Amino acid sequence: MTIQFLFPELLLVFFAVAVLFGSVSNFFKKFTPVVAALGLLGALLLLPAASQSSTAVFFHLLEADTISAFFRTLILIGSALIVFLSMGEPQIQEQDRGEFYFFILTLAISMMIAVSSRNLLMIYIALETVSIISYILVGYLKQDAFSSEAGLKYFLFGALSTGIMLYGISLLYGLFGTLDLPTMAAAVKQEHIYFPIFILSMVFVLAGLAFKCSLVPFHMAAPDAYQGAPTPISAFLSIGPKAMGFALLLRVFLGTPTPLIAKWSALAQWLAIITMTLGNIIALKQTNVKRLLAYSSIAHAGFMLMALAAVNASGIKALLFYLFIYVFMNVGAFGCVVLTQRQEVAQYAGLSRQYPFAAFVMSISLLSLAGLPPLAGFMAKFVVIAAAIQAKLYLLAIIAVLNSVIALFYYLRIIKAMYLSKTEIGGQLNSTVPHSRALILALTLTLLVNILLGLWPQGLMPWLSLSP
Amino acid sequence: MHIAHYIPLFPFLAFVINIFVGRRLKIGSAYLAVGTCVLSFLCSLKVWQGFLQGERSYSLGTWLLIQGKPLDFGIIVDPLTIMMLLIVSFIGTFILIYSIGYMHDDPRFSRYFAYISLFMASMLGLVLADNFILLLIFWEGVGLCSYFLIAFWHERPAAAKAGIKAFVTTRIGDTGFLVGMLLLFFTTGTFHFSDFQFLRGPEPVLTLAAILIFAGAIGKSAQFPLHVWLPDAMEGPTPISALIHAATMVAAGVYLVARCFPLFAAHPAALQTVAVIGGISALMAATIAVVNNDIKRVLAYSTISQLGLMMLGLGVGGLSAGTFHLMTHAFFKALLFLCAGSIIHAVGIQDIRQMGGLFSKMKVTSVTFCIGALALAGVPPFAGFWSKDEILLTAWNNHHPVLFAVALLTSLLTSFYMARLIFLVLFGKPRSELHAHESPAVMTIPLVVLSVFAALAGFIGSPLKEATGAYEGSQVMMLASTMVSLTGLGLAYLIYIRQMALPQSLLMSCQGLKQLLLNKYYIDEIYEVVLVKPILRLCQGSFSFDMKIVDGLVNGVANVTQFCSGVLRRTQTGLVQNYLLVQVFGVVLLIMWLLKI
Repeated sequence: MTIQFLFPELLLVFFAVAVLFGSVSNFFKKFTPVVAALGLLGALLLLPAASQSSTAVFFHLLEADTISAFFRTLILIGSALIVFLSMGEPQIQEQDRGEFYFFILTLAISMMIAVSSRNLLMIYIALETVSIISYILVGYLKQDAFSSEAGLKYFLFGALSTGIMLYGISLLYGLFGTLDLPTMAAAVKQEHIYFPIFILSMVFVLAGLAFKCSLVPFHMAAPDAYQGAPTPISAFLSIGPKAMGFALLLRVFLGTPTPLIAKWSALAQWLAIITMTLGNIIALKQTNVKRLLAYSSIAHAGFMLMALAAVNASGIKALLFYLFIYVFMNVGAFGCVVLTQRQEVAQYAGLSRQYPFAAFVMSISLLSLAGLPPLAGFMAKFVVIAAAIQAKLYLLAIIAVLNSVIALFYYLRIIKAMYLSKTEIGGQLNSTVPHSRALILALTLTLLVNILLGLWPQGLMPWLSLSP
Repeated sequence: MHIAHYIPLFPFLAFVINIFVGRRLKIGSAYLAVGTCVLSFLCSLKVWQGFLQGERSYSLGTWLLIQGKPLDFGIIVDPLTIMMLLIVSFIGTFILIYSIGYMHDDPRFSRYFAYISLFMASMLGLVLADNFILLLIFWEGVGLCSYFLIAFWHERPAAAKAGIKAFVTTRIGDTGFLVGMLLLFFTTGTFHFSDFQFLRGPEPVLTLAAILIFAGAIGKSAQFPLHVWLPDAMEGPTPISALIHAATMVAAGVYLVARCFPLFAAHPAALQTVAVIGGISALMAATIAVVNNDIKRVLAYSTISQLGLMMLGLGVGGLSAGTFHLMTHAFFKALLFLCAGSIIHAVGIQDIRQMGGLFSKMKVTSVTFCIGALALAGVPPFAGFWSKDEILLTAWNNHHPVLFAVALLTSLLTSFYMARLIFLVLFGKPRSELHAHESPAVMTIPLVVLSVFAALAGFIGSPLKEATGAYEGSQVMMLASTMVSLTGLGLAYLIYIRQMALPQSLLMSCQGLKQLLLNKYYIDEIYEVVLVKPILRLCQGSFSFDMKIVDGLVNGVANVTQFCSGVLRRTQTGLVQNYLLVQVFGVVLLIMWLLKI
């Protein structure tokens, strides 16, 4: 029964259409976020049953393995958190003509299909759907010049990336005569292919995926997009497409046989070093919190790539663990920006006295991002660095530790402003929005995960015990 | 979750609530703390019942994997743990109730109950832990809370200093503990107490590990040479002294040795160390207590001395005797401190030379104080007599004549200084203007309840008697120890009530000794000269090294990084054509590198 595998996606399609139809009337429009959240929850409930089958489904286009199960869960959780965040964002409340949550749901669907794909054509189609929806969402605030500019930049940059990737895919098809990843991997083993072209085309594919993960030097559009986009969408871009990108990197690159693995490992290692260092160093001087978080998310992509560079089982486990926690810490930080509606670091001065809850959640999220024990972010960094050391990538591990020190500085700058600054910048906490309670719920959730998973990482670990 | 897991959780919950919203709860914060403590006590009873029905240990699930071996949120349930649970929660409850009266107009009322709840939670968790790592977490929690509470009135410099002293001094022991624990782990591969019966490893290493673990107990239980923090800890509120001395902090050290007893028992040298350190502490502290004039400090030195006796008891092989004394001591020492608190509360001074004749003014306090004193002095049939007798007998039976003599001498001194305290404070004529009055019922009721236990707890017998075999009393020993106690009492009576000339002139003739004792053997001064001053000088030196050279380097690196940030930031031009160029160049460079062109 292969259709069973797609039940969560089908349910989401149903809800997405319901959201779209609901938007025709002003009365029903109020309920679209709730309907979207219910759809995501329902899909999450269907997921365990849907992941039962363990073979390729749909004419070998999709793979029903543990990786797809993990990433589909993660995408659903992340999307639900983003729906909650959006419910607290006044700009979206004003601009939404009803289609906003439709886009969120379709984005979730296409990402879920992408992470299950094992065929490059399928991957490309899913990826392109994700891209197009993200362009729309980044430029969603039509009256806002920044948002429109960010949307356009993101589109141009993304178009080039997918163009390069598509070229790579066509070259691969020329080499192998197939787009099925396992078949290609088996063919590489027999060494009948011309290696320089193979590597060329793989780098082209990498360029497309690296754009989604915002790895240096494919990160350029990310800071502009994050800054200009509505804040919940910035949060979404920093978790959803990034998780999807890493899922696909796992599938495409770790499927290849041993002699090439060493090459990919070296590639990943150097990209990781450049990405984390550049992201952290540029973040130091940022004054806009969303832009700062954009660079921080680039630096975190470097850490995740580090787990991939340690091509072994514990590296993959570390990557999944890191991603899971990263979703919660980043949503926590972005959620506080939504709650306070303050974009500049200077505006955070004295927040702890005005809104202790917002300041506390922000601090915990930032400290978790910085990787301070006993928070979850520390365990995440710990397992990743441990995996790198296990793979004998000592240089990478040392640079990663140094990077954590740099990162601590700019996270603490915000906390310092919130708790130690004497001056208070006025401004209302965003509580006028009708659904701000959903936002508080999401923030409380991230807070709990950040604290509890740090104290008890073993709670998540058995769930991740899977082999590639 | 098993019911035992809730035991530390309740006070912890009280801590969380009190620390955040305690101020708004006002008196409610105290009721919350007391209520959770009672719940813990009830759960402890339930665990006891479960134990009698044959349950032993539980786990909440795996916490960490260490070298492939699981480390659980595990708890151990045996008579030792149950005894500690019951004592801590029971005595804790009464100390908390008493605190409501004692702290009633303190501005940081709810903060006090928050800390004390955390203190209880840490101690309860400590005795439940089934492995070293878990124990260490709670162990540090106890240390931290002791710092908070001793320095609770931190506006007073002496209190702030005492808090730091307690924290730093116990840390020295804790370092040894940590090293010993890791040494044990690396030789035998286990953190679990249940594996201690089957430890295999090189003899000298394990002996060293045991002694290092004992160092932790020396710090926490204020044994020589790390006893100096305990008398200064008297700067804290008196109920805290009661809690630290009876149920929580100092008991942790003795508990640790008792918990690791199989390890010590297998290595005679380690056991011998325990006994000797205990003996030295017992005798030294008792002699200091004889001349001290501060009501709380006399009790503090008596605690060091009694803890020394417990260590001595454990060290001569008397696991049962040592823990028995821990139990009885908890009752009468809590009682004595609470009585002292009641007296200080009434008269507002602590110098016993200015007190006197309080018996008629504070009947309840005085009677209970006397019961506590008799129990500590080891007069039959009060609780202290039975446990002290068991220690003496164990020392004798296991052929430790010197330690036996030390213990006997200590009990003589103990009964003497307790009698001196009683006579000077409660009897005779008032030596200064005192307007004493009895304390409110919320303070006296705990005194009465505790005094019942201080009087009768000895009849229960050692909680470990089933595990270690029945203890057979010896009438000769009982007679001897009673004689010794009564001698001490009699001597004090002759000197302080009858004011006989001969002993007084004897006392006058050894002024040098008195001076030595009054200055506590100059141990604080020796530490000051030998340790504190050189360390401070070293700190000064490294501070200036840090300021000038290290900070210079660090700031230099930071400045360079900041500069790079400024430069690299300009790469983000905002022009999309530049972005695309970077991307294309990136792809080209990657290909060139991978193909080694």
